[in-house]
Amino acid sequence: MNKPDETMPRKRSRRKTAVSLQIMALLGVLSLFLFSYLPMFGISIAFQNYTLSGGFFRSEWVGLRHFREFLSDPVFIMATRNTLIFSFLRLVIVFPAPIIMALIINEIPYARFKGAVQTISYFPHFIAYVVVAGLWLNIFDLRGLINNVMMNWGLITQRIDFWNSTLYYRSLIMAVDLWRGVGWGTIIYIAAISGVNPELYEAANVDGAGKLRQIWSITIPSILGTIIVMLILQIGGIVRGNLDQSVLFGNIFNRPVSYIIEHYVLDLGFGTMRFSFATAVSLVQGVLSLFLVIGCNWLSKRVSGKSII
Amino acid sequence: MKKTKILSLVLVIVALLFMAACSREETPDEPVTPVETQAPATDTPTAQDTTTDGPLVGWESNTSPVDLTLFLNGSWWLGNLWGTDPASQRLQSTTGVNFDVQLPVTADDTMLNLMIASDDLPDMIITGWTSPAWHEMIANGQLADLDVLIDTYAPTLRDNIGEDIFDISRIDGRLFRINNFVEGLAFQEAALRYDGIIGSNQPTLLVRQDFFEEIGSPEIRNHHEFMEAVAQMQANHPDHIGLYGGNMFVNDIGPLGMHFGIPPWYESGGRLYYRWRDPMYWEALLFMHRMAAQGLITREVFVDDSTVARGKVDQGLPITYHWTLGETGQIPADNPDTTYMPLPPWDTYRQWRSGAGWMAVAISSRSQHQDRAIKFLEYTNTWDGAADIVWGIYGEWADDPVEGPHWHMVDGRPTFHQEYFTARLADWEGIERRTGLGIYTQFIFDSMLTNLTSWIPGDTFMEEQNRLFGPLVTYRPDILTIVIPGGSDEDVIRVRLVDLLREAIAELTFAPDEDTALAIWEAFIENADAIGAGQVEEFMTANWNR
Amino acid sequence: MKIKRTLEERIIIVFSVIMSLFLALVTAYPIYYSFIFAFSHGREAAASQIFFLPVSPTLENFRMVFSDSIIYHSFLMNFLRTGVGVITGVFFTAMVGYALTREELRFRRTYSIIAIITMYFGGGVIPTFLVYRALMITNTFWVFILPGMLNVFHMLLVMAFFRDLPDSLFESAKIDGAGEFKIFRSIALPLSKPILATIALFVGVGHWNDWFTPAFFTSSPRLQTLPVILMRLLSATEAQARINESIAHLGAVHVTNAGLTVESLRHATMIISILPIMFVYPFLRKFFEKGIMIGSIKA
Repeated sequence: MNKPDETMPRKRSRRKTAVSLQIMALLGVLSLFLFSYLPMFGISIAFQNYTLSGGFFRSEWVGLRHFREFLSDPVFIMATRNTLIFSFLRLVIVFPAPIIMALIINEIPYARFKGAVQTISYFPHFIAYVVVAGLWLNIFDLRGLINNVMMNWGLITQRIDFWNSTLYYRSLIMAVDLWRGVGWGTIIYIAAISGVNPELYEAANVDGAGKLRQIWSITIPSILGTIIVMLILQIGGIVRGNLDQSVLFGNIFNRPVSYIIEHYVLDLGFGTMRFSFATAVSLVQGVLSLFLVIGCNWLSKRVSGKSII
Repeated sequence: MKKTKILSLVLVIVALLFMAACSREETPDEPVTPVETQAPATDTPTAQDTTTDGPLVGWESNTSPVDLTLFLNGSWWLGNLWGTDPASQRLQSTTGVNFDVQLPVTADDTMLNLMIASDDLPDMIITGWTSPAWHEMIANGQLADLDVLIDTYAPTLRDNIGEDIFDISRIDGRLFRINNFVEGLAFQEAALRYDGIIGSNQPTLLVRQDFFEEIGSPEIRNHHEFMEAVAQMQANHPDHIGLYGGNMFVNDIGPLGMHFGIPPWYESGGRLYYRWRDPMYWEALLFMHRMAAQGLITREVFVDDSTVARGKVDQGLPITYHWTLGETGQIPADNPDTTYMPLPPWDTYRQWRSGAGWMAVAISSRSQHQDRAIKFLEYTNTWDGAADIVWGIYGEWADDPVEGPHWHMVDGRPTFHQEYFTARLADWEGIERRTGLGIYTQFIFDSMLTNLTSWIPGDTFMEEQNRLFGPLVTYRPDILTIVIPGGSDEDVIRVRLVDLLREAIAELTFAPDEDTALAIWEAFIENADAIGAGQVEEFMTANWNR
Repeated sequence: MKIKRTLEERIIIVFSVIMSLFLALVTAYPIYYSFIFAFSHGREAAASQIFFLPVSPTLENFRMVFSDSIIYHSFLMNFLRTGVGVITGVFFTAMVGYALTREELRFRRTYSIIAIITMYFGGGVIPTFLVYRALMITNTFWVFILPGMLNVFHMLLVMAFFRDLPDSLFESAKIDGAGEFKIFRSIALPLSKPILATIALFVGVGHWNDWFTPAFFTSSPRLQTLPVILMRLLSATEAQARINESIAHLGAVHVTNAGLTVESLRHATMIISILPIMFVYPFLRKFFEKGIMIGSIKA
């Protein structure tokens, strides 16, 4: 007797649920369609010889000409290699740093000190890249602070030309990245950590688990979702590099290690008004990124049960 | 917790107060409000008509008000709001034109490209004369044919500026834009006569006087003597840089080409070749290599940007450096009793100029006011118009650098009052903003109209420099106005070669020995030929306007 | 009431304090450096290589930045667009993110992939401009707000957070007969304060520093925001310095203007633009406090 009475409204509410959820999601899809997908007709110029006068529809179609050009260019190969090396180093060195730092900051029991550290540590993120570069170039200049200090203390007998060689470039760039990104990177993990249910720690305390053990078996698993989102996106981005960095720190002497894909596009695409060429390169980067993200997402779902979508 | 919040709140308030304070301090310096300046300005044109000695042309005035839009592709342009300074007020009351000026925010062409792509160009467009955008706008039919407009509405324009200026501006024989700041034939002749061909921007080598005197200020006539002198000076001051110059070798051998007399393009057998095929070029490379081998050139010479370079010069680090005559008298921080002074040019010094100017002015084919736009340009290219824009008010000095008079006639040529020039030097931008003089020079095509008054008689230093450098200047618009179209195959080869050349030069300069350097150089030439240097040379020769 | 700490805990605390101190010291320096540079005489600062103290202290750099009277209006415009942008952006992103995490939503994987694609493909400036113009949002306030309302990266972060919330909360609410939008508003949102505060910060910084949109998609002077004014000032000074060096035919003179250099001006504009946003973080910190979640569930 009661059963139909109970299921009827539930079914209706489930349908209602689905409808309101669909509306919420579709609003998002609509905004993506209008502001992201509509402009994507611009990608078609990757297969054209686009000129401003020809426009998007009257420019000459050249098929895969641009793709052939850069894929057979040794300079592009060199730039790709450098981009990948930097991405790999970033993944190994720079990516874990904010996670570790967030865990460390989280252990500080003094609220005010903690707040001050957090606020200060993300200062570098706000500084325009050209100023950051100016500062680092200056300090590590042949006649800059570091060289002066080391000379005065007798640590070296000959000044080191840090930036103008291939020797120190990668290490310095990693230092810049760490310094600039760690503080800002912790924000997202600290937010995730504060979402952890405190009852879990209380229970662990009762069980007599030590601090390190709690970090390992409560904190890290609880923020694993966030870590994985960040990791998958980071992997998706390995075919991209930091243009500002390459332009501002790169020079003719460190070019063999500093020249990256974006710099190549700037020189041979925008530098010669070849928007088509630039679009072709970034189309390839985009396709690779998308495959990497979807692939990693699939893998992560298999391995950890977590995914970004 | 609460205290952090309060502290940050206080900090924000302090920051805001600080900003407010800054602005309040600013107020007294603020130029006179527009309303106040408007009144005296309205009667200037009449006063001026009676006093100008310059040749008057029959400019037919139509002062009915008209609003024109203008896109000036220069984020650097320090223009005032049109009509808020005496210069633009004079222009407005004579021509009736009121400009709404739009500027881009960045130094690239994005804004202009957006306007072209959306077919949304203003009445008047001003952008660099070498810009690839010209070809796009012409292909789109977005520019008015100026030959037609001039013949219909502004025939006197042809009488007032040299035909060579129109020729330099033509693209495929048609006149869609006119270059400004052109150093045409008339200018060249007058400039040589009045010692005005060499300005403070003339590239030169400068030397630290205290170091130079230590070795007895030897005469330096060529690169051998130069290298010897620098080596001696650096032996005395090993912590200093032998030869410096901000980003000196940003493109091939940079200014060394000028000192060695290597032209931008190598002419041989009626054809044009890349300058690195010039036999002298290897001489210059060898010079760099030998300088580097002795530690007289360091890697920073290739790398430092102009900010860093400025700092190193101010610190007094360079023994010699390449910059411009304007650097004369710089005082190094470590010795306030000495200065940097220019060295006389080497025997081989030659400078090639295109004379083709700076930017170019065009009128949109969609504009409803093409007649008024061309008539405006007709006026700004008369002596009267140029006076409104650059020279100011004619008459005897009345102790007022803003209201004028600013200039008078000396030996038959217009000349600024020395006092006005001194006042202007003391506060360049302030005087410029309040008088409006020198701001609207983009509307003037012929440098003859703008530069006459800048040649200050009695400046013995510049007269001397003009005697030294003046005869070494060559105008070659036939070669130097050839523009390789952006995005063409030749352009791509050009860009690739720029990179290759820079790399080769950096490498061979610091190569272990001369044999290695030569090997690197030969490899470069082989590589460059393989990439298609010949194609670019072919293009240059084909477009050479002999 | 003293809490007794084990040795392990004490070692961890000492270690974290030392590490944090090191981080704070290293990262505080650049702002300090910018600060002293902004208050220094530009030419002298470059000549004497300042590192710790300003030389010939001056307000000239700031005076130059504030000489443009439009800067006050642009400050207000910047606050306005950041305020509106943060509220709409965070709400909308969280809402879409919430819907995409619910198992009940059909096609949610498709939607997610549609969203992720936009992270890696774009049409470029010109097509974007043409589309915005066709949508009639160029040269309006909405061009600041609408295109950025849904940020896919932020959405993925929110989704990761939502997924880690216990399912039972939503189940119990649904049994109580609450609609999905109501659940989102009254359960999901309050529980996600830390992540919402985080993306509010991200969105806010993005809006505050964005010069690209006003520079290319608006032309009305009323819509110019702070970063545009500062960009323009910088590129003007930079180019002017270059022009002074190369083009000016001025006779034997050297144009100087109170020792301002591109460098010193750059530091001053930066200090002005980042001060307001730099000190927002302490206000957001209360959202990161532990226990807030449990409190809201129980209430």
